Amino acid sequence: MLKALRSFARRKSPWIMHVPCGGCNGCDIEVVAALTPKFDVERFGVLQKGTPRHADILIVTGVVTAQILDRLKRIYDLTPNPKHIVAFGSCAVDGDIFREGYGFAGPLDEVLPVDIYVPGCPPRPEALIDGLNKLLKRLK
Amino acid sequence: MIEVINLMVGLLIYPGLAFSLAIGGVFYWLYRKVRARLQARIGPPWYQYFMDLIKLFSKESVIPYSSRGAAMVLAPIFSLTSLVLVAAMMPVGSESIFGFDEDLIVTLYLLAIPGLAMIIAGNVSGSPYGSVGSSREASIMVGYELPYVLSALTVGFHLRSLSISRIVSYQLESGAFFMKYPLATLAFLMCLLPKMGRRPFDAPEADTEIIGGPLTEYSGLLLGLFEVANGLKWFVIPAFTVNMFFGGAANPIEFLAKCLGVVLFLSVLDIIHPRYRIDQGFRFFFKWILPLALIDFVRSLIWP
Ligand code: SF4
Repeated sequence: MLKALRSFARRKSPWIMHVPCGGCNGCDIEVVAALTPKFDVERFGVLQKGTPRHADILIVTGVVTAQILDRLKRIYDLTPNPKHIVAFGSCAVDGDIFREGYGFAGPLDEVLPVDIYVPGCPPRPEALIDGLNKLLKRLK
Repeated sequence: MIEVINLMVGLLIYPGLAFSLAIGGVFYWLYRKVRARLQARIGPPWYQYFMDLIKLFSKESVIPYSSRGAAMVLAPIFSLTSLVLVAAMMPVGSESIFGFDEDLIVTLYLLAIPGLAMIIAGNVSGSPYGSVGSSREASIMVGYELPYVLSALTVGFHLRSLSISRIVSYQLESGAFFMKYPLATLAFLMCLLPKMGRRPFDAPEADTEIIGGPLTEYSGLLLGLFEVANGLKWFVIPAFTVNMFFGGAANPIEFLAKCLGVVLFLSVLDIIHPRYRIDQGFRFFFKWILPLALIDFVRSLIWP
């Protein structure tokens, strides 16, 4: 009973933190667009938080560059358990066109455990909502 | 024995923790819903606040290495305790359970503690954002605390009494105080906005500038306790306002309806305003609100 309540609460109140890595900024704009009145993710209980301490879900956009690698790991460590990662955009999924670049430090899932992939360049805000929805369905 | 049970019930169930939290959570949801509707959104479901609480309580709480652990744990407990005590003393309807003759003064003191707890929280959590947040909280507190106390004491001086129950029963007989002291009422309402951390005076918690303000390093259970305190504030502070200026009420239903009015008023003010810079907010309180409060305060002294 308590467990059911807890998992219901976790599904109903995912607080996200947006972590922009080395992308082209296209994905960042789409993530922010998902928070605007037109798409309104607050109706699913999603709130955007600025600090990893408050977050349940990290939304990572852009390629993981050599510059951001340590900081990304640190942000991940700062987030309290249970935590989840969404790889948002082709860059975060596999590196996309920046794959051959000198600053590329591996696709996101080789660095951190990714829970859900949202491909696209950039994905639409609906895709983010769909991805979040699929992730939330799996939560215990 | 009976007295102890009564005390526990009063503190923890009605009108203490559980009742105030339930009403406060619904009021907080209402604020979020009104904000969503005015922005042409749908908004969260009614149980959102409680789900947030349960989720926060079930998460890991991290106490950072650079913080002073004990004070970091105590800050939310201070905030929560003072609000529960105020909730137990507040007359809901016409009679109060733990009211006594000087409870107005005690209430004013206890309601200053959540702000102080914020200042402590920001300073001990070992984060630069926290320090900036607490310094802002401290300066805005200097601005609003004086007119707030003055306008509350206006009512006390009018009756030559410091008992909230007395104030409520007087208003039930001879009309609400906001007719007699409109300026003090206005000043009081304005001071509630920074007290609840609402726009245009939410610079201490401005999440677009200083991340989470004093709460930046808080997580899990400790953040949850602050959330509980926030929910309690949404009931306790409107309830105090209704008792002081809007005539109290003869029964709880009418009382809650009046609280609802205050909540909606504050919500709309919050939604339609941008955020003031800290010096602008400070100047606003000293230039406009303090004189308003003073006028009615002096009036209550010389011409009650
Ligand atoms: S996936 Fe496309 S839009 Fe997104 S950061 Fe990479 S290149 Fe830019």
